[in-house]
Amino acid sequence: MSKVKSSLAKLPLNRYFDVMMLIFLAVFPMFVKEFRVEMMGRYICYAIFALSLDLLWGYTGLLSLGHAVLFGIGGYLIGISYQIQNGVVPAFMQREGITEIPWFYLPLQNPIVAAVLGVLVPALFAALIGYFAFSSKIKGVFFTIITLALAQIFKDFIINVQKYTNGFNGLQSIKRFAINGSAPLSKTTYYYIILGIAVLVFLFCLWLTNNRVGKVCTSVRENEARLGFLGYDAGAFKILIYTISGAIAGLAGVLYAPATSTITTEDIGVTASTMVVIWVAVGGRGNLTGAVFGALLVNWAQSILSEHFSSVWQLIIGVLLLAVIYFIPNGIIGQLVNLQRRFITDKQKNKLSEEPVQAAAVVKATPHN
Amino acid sequence: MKFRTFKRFAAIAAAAALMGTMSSCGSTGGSSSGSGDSDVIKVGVLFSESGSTALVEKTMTNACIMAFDEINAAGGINGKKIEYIHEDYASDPAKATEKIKKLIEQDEVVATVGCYTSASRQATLSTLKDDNSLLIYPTYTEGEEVHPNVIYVGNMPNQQATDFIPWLLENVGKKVFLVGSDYVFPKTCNKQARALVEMYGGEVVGEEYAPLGHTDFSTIVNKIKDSGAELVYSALIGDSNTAFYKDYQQYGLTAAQVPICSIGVDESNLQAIGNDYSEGHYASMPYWSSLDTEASKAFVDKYNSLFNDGTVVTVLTEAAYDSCYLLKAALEKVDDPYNTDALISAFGGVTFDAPQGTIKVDDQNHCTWVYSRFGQVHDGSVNILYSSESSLRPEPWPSVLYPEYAESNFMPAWDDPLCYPQ
Repeated sequence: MSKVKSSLAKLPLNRYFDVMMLIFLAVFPMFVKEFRVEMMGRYICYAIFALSLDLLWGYTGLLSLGHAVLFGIGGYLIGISYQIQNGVVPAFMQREGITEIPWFYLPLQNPIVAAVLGVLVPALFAALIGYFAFSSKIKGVFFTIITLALAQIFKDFIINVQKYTNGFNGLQSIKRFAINGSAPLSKTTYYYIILGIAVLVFLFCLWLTNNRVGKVCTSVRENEARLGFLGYDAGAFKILIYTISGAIAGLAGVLYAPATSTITTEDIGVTASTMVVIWVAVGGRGNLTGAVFGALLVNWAQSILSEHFSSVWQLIIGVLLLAVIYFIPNGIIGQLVNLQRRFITDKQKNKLSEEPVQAAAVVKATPHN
Repeated sequence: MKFRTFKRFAAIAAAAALMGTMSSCGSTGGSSSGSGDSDVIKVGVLFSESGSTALVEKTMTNACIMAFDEINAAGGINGKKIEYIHEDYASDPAKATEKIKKLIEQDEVVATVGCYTSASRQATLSTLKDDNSLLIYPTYTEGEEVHPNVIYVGNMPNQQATDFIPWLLENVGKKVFLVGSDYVFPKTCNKQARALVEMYGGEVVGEEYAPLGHTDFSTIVNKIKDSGAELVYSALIGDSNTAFYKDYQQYGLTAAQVPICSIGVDESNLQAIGNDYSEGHYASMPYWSSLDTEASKAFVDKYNSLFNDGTVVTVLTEAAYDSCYLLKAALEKVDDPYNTDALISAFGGVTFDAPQGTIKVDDQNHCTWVYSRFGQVHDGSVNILYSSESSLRPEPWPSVLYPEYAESNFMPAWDDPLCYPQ
């Protein structure tokens, strides 16, 4: 019993936070209006999206400023599916003189196929970009710049092939997984589906970061050269984690588009990519909880502040974000975890004076992450 | 050491502030102010205060505030005051979806005046349909869309082009070069312009599109030069205009030789272009702030005295103002403002003596009868050369292109999937 108690006490603070957030999100729909539920559903999609960036940036140290591309591919694939449901060529295509649904869109008519492709295609795309970037040893800020360019190019691409994507206007009327003409899922049902998938993704990320792949990724972040000396192919691991991250970002997009019923180029460009970086930075990177918390917190703050201060809300958000990033560069959750660690270490230091040998071993074993 | 304590304190304070905003969602989300207060009629105003289109939309917000304040000062609607709730969608269509839901489901507004880009309007459509609410959309638009839950107060392309093009062919030249932004509005307008030019015996000598936000027009200007065009019919929108008018002059074309005849510039664009570059070109809109009538002058003076924020009165300002008054007229016709179906049918045929003249919502197709006015730019304002005698019929599917719809109010049947994105 006392053993369980002591191992619970050693559990990082953020794991308690995870459980609290889950309970909060699970009971949330019981207390608010339906549109708030829908809003929160969207923000949970953002949280999944933030998790995908946390794997890449927080754990592996690769900052992507074009992550919304992967999110957008997922969203657009499911979005297109709902433009061609009844076999009629959508109005935006007819205007451009298209009289038949293009062959490459036909598989997307089934929303399930579109959803699966919405995960696989971004993964593949990320693998491809990762292959070219990492096999030619592009590192650090150069990778970031490439992804930034990617975001801009992708947005321009979507705008310019408006024949197929409706360009700047984006795609509308994306149903919450109405399949074969059935009614779309209710807002609350869909919320719980998103929440369920988010929990699975979270557990997957937790598992991934605690097994060998995750450890190697952390080593890439800490000291890539040394990892190479130990015989690991850092490039292969980077491609792998980027691919996984791409799949999760795509999944977030697939869930997001039906939640908001629309996807446009605002959701896929540089601005959207920067936003996800901000969420992760505010929450704290490299511990998963921070990504989720940051995504939920910043988005809620934006919505609520914009409702109450419709003309100056962005200024308030900006100041708050600067304050968080300036004063707690580790992010909110990161800071809490650090405080807890310091507290434990202090306790152990006190012990150290009494039982020097034993305590020294404990200090050594304290995880650094 | 002291600084560290301060840092920690500040961090906790900042975190607490963020969390405070988060928890406040519970209170606003949980409370339902609802329609219990029957002394007011709630109306949503949904325009951006931030983001790329904020500057344009600011003037529309101002116009709504001015209109609703006037209506309230004059006694409201059947004795009830209007309470307008303004939401900022930050030029982001996804946010527009969120905000319209908030307005409808939490604030329980009877209708919303709002949206600027077609993207933002279209993003709200499925919510409007699901929640059966009403959007009054003031921006001029490309047409080829009518939604049962939207009233289109901005003009349709036919109202800008049907009088403008024959006049240009007669008075300026027969050889027309079409330019536009690579976007649905310019393309749809130019499709119609081409048909009109050919119908009235002109000739289209070229057609070019620049990506949205494009700022290098050297290629297009050179093509215009080589084409032998006598006039350029422009459906360029937004900031591209500034670059286009400047490049136009710098590459040696003048308004005297080959004027640009635009359906995409208003006073704020002219301001951005600058008087040196805009002088002598033509432009067409239902309303110009230079309109020399009592109603128009009073409107412009009042706007300028109320809002000193750098915005200028444009066709959009006027249309947003009209939208509020058309809503008032429709609300006066219904017993229960929350009966959306009744409110929508009440819009059929309502009129308003607007600054531009008397306008009217069409009985059938949800679009508005507005004037056609065009003129030549002089000193940054438009010297009006032509005003239609009365307001022109809106044709969402223009008869020059779709004669098959001419008998059915210029639109497909309401249940046709072509009417709006389903």
